[in-house]
Amino acid sequence: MRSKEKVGPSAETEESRMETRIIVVTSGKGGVGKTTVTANLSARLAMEGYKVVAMDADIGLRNLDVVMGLENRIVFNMIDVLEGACKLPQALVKDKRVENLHLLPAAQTRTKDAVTSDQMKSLCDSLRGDFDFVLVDSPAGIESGFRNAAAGADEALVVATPEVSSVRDADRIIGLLESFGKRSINLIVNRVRPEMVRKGKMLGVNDVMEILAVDMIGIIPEDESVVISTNRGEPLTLTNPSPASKAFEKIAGRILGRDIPLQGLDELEEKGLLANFIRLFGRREGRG
Amino acid sequence: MTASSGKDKLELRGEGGHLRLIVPLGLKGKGIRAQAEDFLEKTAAILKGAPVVVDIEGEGWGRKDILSILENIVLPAGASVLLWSPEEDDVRSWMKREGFALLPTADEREAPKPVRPVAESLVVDESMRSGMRVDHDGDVTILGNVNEGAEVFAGRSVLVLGRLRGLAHAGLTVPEEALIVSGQFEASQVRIGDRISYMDAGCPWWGKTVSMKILDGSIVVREVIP
Repeated sequence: MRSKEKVGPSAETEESRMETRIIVVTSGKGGVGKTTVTANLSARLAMEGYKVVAMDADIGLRNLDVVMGLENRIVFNMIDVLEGACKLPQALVKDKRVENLHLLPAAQTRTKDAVTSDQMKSLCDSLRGDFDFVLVDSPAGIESGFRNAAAGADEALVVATPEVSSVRDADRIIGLLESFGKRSINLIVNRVRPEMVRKGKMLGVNDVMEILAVDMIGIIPEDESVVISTNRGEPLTLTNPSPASKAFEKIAGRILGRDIPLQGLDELEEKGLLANFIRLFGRREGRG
Repeated sequence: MTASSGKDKLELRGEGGHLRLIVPLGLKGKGIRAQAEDFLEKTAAILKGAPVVVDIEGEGWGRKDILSILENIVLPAGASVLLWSPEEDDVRSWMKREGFALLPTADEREAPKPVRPVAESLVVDESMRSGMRVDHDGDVTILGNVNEGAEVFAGRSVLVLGRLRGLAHAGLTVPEEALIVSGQFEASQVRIGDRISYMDAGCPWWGKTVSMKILDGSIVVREVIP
């Protein structure tokens, strides 16, 4: 296993290589931020020097390529690999901004029935050994798409927003993951609005944890820079030191086994004079 | 043996090991008292110490009428009421509710309640997540929470040691004996037998330890104070 201090390809030796960790990012409910989490955590882990594949398992509704800004460079996709039209390395899109980051895109013109769980397992297994992390972006729902995405994964990151419907769906997904035998299931609570939580208008992180009863690995605050970065096709973690970006950095650290305490509500908010000015300016702009 | 004074008059018949006192509809109100003295004069010797089944004919009998039968006939004669036999369903219903011992009707005698074998208890030793469902003929005990979107169906009682947020339906086979007990009640709906109750966070027992059962046809909630 590679030790935490030895980061980057230059520090890597045969002995220090860690086993490939395949992590499915899932939620049940759509629109809670699975793709954003996959893109940003993949980028962050790659920036730490680990070899990462971000795999889009949302066949027919692929988005990970757009969020990562790699849509123009796709030649082959996952289905091409499974059907033997190309070799796996040919389908991997290498990110030019971060040396170790790769995307395995989904097919947009096929449906989720185009692959089976066994094919997904063998695809994931063929990535083992060559990469440190494979993050699989799961489609919403509990049907075959989700089952296929989870099939080859060893671990799961469940993304939920602090809404009753999202928590209920996450609970369903966690139950299914447990029934598949996935024992490492961690929770990310996304789009937390500290002000609303304080006013009792939004479920608190503790409420979500109490219901879902799995380990929490990170809290991501609501942050408009996520929308901007998504539209630009530039993962936040590559450029922007925003609250959400810091949250992704901490989550990546915890995935790597670092002891990083969870943030409180105060820490999730942007601090300082500049932030206050931006908030004030933003409000005025909104009123105008 | 028959002691009678004709239509709309009190009548006494011998029947097996007991007597049958027939009270016609026409005597409802003051009629019983009016006939009592004459009737007792003729039947006092027979009625004294005898167990009597009281037949109440017709509809509309109320508490005062029953009291009048006891005060004017049964008690002065030194008899005792073995069973009451009201003819009309509404009268049977309120007398049963108030605890009078009633003679079973022919239908009730012919259709004895089926004796169901009691199914074993089922213990679920984990919390139930959304989408999970337990269906069991006997009692069901959950050693954890029942989350929103999870469902428990039980022939008899449901006991949730943790928080109940999902659906509990108890008493599918034996509703009259079924209970729903929850360590922390936060469910928007509960069902016992064919009864459904809807609740929300405004209920005084929301978030508390409660037990629920059917009483007089309604689901009644009781806070359990440990």
